Amino acid sequence: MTGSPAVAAPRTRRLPRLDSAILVPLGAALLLLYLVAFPLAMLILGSVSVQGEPTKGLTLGNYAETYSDPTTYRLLANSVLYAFGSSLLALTLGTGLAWIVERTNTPARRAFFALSLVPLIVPGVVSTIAWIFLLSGQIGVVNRVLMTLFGLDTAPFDVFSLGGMMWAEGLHLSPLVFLFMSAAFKSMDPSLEESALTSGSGTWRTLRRVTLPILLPGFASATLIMFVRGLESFEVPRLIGVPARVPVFTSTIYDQLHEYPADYGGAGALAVGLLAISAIGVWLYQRLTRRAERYATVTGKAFRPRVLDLGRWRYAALAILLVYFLLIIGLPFGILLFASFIPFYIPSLDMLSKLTLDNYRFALEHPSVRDGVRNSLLLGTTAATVTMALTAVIAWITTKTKIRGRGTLDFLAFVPIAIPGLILGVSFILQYLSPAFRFLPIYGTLWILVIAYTTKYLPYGMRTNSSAMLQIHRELEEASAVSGASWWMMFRRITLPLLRPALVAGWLYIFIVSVRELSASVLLVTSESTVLAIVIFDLFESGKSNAVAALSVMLIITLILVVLAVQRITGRFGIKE
Amino acid sequence: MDVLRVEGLRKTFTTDQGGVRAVEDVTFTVEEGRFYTLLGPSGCGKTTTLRSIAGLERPEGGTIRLGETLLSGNGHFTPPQARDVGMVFQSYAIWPHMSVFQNVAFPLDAAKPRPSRAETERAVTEALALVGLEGLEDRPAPQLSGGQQQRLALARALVRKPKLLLLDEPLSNLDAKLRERMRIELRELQRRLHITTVYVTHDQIEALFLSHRIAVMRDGRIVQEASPREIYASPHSGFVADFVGIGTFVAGELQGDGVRALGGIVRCARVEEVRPGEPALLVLRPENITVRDQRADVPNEFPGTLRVAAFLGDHLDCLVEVGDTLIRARAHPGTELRREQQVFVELPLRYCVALPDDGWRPRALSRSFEEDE
Amino acid sequence: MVRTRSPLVLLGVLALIVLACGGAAAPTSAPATAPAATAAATARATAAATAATPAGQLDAETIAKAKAEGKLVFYTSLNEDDAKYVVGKFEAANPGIKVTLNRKSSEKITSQFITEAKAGKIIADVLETGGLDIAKPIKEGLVAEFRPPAAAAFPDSLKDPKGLWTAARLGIETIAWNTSQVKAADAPKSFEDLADPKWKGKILIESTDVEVMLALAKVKWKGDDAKVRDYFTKLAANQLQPSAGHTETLDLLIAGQRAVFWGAHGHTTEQKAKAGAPVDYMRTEGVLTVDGAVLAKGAPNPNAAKVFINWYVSEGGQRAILDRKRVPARPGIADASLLPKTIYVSGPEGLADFDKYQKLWKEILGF
Repeated sequence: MTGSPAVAAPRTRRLPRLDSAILVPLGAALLLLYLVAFPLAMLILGSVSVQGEPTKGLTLGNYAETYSDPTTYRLLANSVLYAFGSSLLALTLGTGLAWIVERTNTPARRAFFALSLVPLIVPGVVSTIAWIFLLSGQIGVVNRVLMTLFGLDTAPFDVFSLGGMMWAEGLHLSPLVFLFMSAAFKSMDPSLEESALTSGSGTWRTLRRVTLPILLPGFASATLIMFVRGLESFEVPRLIGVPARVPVFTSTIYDQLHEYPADYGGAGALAVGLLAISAIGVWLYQRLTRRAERYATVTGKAFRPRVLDLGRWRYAALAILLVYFLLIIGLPFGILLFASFIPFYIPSLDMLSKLTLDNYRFALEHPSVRDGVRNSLLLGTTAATVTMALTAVIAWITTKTKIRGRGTLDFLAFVPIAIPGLILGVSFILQYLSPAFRFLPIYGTLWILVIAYTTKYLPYGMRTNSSAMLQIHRELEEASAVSGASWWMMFRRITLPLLRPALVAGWLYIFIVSVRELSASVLLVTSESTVLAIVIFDLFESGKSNAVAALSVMLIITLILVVLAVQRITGRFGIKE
Repeated sequence: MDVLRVEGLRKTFTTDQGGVRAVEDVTFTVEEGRFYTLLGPSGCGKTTTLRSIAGLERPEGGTIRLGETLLSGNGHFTPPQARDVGMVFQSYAIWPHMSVFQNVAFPLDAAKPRPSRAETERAVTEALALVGLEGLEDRPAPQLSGGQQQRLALARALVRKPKLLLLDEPLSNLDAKLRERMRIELRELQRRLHITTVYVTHDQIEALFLSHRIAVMRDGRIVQEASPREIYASPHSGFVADFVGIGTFVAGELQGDGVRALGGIVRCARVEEVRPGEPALLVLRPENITVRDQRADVPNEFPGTLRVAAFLGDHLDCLVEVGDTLIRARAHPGTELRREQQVFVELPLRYCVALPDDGWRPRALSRSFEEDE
Repeated sequence: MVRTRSPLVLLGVLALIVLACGGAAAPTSAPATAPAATAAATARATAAATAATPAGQLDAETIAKAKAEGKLVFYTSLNEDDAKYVVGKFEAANPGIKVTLNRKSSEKITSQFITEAKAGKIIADVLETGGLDIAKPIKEGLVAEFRPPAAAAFPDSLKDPKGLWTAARLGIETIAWNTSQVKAADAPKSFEDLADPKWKGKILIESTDVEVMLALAKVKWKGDDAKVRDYFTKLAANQLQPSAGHTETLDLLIAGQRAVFWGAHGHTTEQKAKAGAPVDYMRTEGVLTVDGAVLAKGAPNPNAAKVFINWYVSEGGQRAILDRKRVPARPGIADASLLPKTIYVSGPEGLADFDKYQKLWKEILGF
């Protein structure tokens, strides 16, 4: 008869009765399969189909064409260089900052922790646009200022170059590294360093011989993750890379899909290539972190890490923090503010005589803006809810049962981490445009975006729910079974309430991060179903950069308020990637 | 009338090293209203047996019957939700997000048909009164003390008035004083309610105190099953003897009606399945051994040196070296005994039992005066 | 083929050229080159026809159905402000029909239209954009036949013989410059001027502006590819800075990134100049693109769409275009002062040669 899923019976031959214990987990598992396995399968299928449509026949021609083309290797070189350069910058900045904030006595460092979270919630398109305003060849504000100050003829920096791309992306990624590394610093057992110091090793030597090697796994895994992020990045390559004529995988795939006629097959072949590289990166990351866990000095006890007294140098460190803050928030916000109040952009103080509110009026009255905001909120809410609900059930299966194949479910739930957002978009297009899926006409509606977002954020939900689920003692659920409750009653009245802190944290995180989302959405939105980040992107590409600036200013202020509110609500807002 | 009948229970766990037999051919019955204890060291299979009765483990073989109902066996398996069983877990498994009332009401909420609000309230109040938690209905469960939580677990297990009550080492998380008090209350409650109970523990005092019948388990099997008095007085093996009660174990060869040991022959009143010439094991209970400072000319009297005399309040715990054996004995607290004193121990005939020596040896005495886990 | 100074004859020439090459876009129409005689005759006919253009109403049934539909979705590459203005005028003239506007660059809006239609998701009722891009959905079979009565008097050159598209406006593509950086005396007077090395490092260009090359190649240099090559190679040697989107590139020009913009849109430059931006554009020569409107096949609101297209090409709609300093297609309405003196016309028929020049563009310019 029915076995309670808490117990696996290797030799039962009876068919299970269809009650909630089977239906709900089975349904969840099937949904997971559909969300993750299907699009990937369609992507691969599309890449081996003529013009990306399997009904037109299968072919390896797409791969042959793409990978025999020398420009593809230039793409590869660009993509890898770009990803590498930006992650290096992000790592240097992020780690240095983390060290200053966690391990020294620099004044006001706590405040910087909170501030550093702000860039994480601002859409990438906004920060990219800000840097375009700041560092474009002749007209970038920073350039003009430096040229005036130092009497230069040509602009010292140009964001429209590979270096500029790395700069913009590296800055954008650095808060993530900061969080990563400050968690690593926080969880380091100080006695390891102390024993080095008491054996006579100086500060620098200790840093080199003890601190850094211990941090190495964390460092390496952060590098890998940032590298994967750099590979999948879209906003910078599109807005900066295209004019700079530095094509990478993502910008090229996007172009191929927007050409006439659209090259689905070629885009698919490129997409699979990018996916492969990304998957290798993530696989390496998983292996490293697993090994790192052996070095882990986390025992659940809170450590008070050793704080280094910098003496007078701490003011220098404070200056570094201020410069970073300026780079990551101050300058971008400032330039956006300036551009938002002028009718057209000329980097000169003369423009202050032409201040206007027209851009704000435009932004507020534009119907796409309203639609975008409304849709983003709707999508964020729906995706967060569906993701957390689905991963709660999946996490239950993977942590509380011994069902064979739960490892596969776990794997599937984490796979989306390795899928660049744009590639996810490509997969969904191939899936939902194919004749097989005509019965599900969700392309062009918000539903396809709900599905895309849910798939994308599965790993975050899964991570939160799994670790929380593990902490629920087995006997709490067994007591429910012995008390006569069905699986569904147990899940509803015992498991979910106990999971609530994790559910809320995960929900909030996904909701806030979804506002930023662009790379998956860019291929899936239509005029009837657009999201805020895309509205900004489109307006910018339509040449309404001043209105975009106004919109961005309003968005940033709103997001800061939201983060403050959330921090108040949850007490502690720790985003762990 | 037999309420619970377990026959030939078999359960294997597979670990990375291959199968581990947790329960091997366990058979016992519990009569109505009786308190039955599974006693044994950790890993002996007692918890697995209990969980199999509850339905939380699925045995590979054997049958479990509750009254007329077959719970498992013969290809059939009733899930735990459908068994008329109440269980108290070792960790109590109190749901922290619910109040006392909600915890106890939960089994009623799960019942089909679901009782009315009034009925639920009545049943909950009754259950709480039984365990002495009346008035605490609205308190959040985590705010209860350890002892109160344990009672709450008990109330929850009893609220549906199940046919069978199962308890998995419920007292092991309590401190000594509380444990003693709860022991008394538990016994009283069970006797009053006359509810058929199966109890699992490694603590022999609990077992002796609470049970109508004890089954000592070792390596997945029941090695002896009897009333507390019987098990204590007539253990079938050194292992059982050691597990239920403290004792000194002396090995020797059976000679006539005694065992050659301690430099002489210890005459035994009873010889259990040992033939002359075979190795035998003597179990000597300390409270049965008399220590004197002078010869009393009684049978089974041996000279020795007092090595340790510890004052334990109600008795003197003594270690007497006789030959090369350290015998544990008790003396009246008022006795004047000094270390290294020459004493004489008497092993009264009627308490001397010779058991077959299966090679089992207790852990070194010098480790502790408490019995093993 | 003809360089002329009279706007009226100009329109006649338009008719000629468009008719001549229009066959390539619609597969079943006759690919023919009209002799010069017919050209003159058509020009005279058009000139005579300016005075009384028939009002061109739709039948009552369509109008009633349109009112019942009450809404339509309009995809256009008109810039934001112009599009809003035009839509506003339409809604004022047709209360009860609400227009949802989607505005993107020509390439993007066309691409979106095609992708959506192919996915089975027809959202747009009307697509209105540049000639070359209009040809693409027509080629894909995504366009429905509709001959707006208001365009009945349009010369054959300004509408499709199969009724698949109707011209609505004409775009001017020429050279614009930043007046703070370029004095009027030094301003370029022809496309060839920018091949001069003195403009090295000073030129902005929209990276996908193949249409201008196409028009210059076929009309100005009459298909002399050697000349095309020569010119563009010299141009490329001046280190052009490519940028995406005409409006964006114009913004860069205004901001002072470079001094001149090769291929700028005349009307947007005019609008920005009127708003106070330091820009102006070349009036001596320029490319004229024929931009039109199509009705989507399977449009959700076909009748409202018909009402819109009809209004758009009627006097009311075309005057709205004129108000925005653009060149309306409707004969007799255009403001000749906005037009460059010498024009090279490019229409939907250019799609046939597009690939060839696209390749050339990529090869010489590198983007």
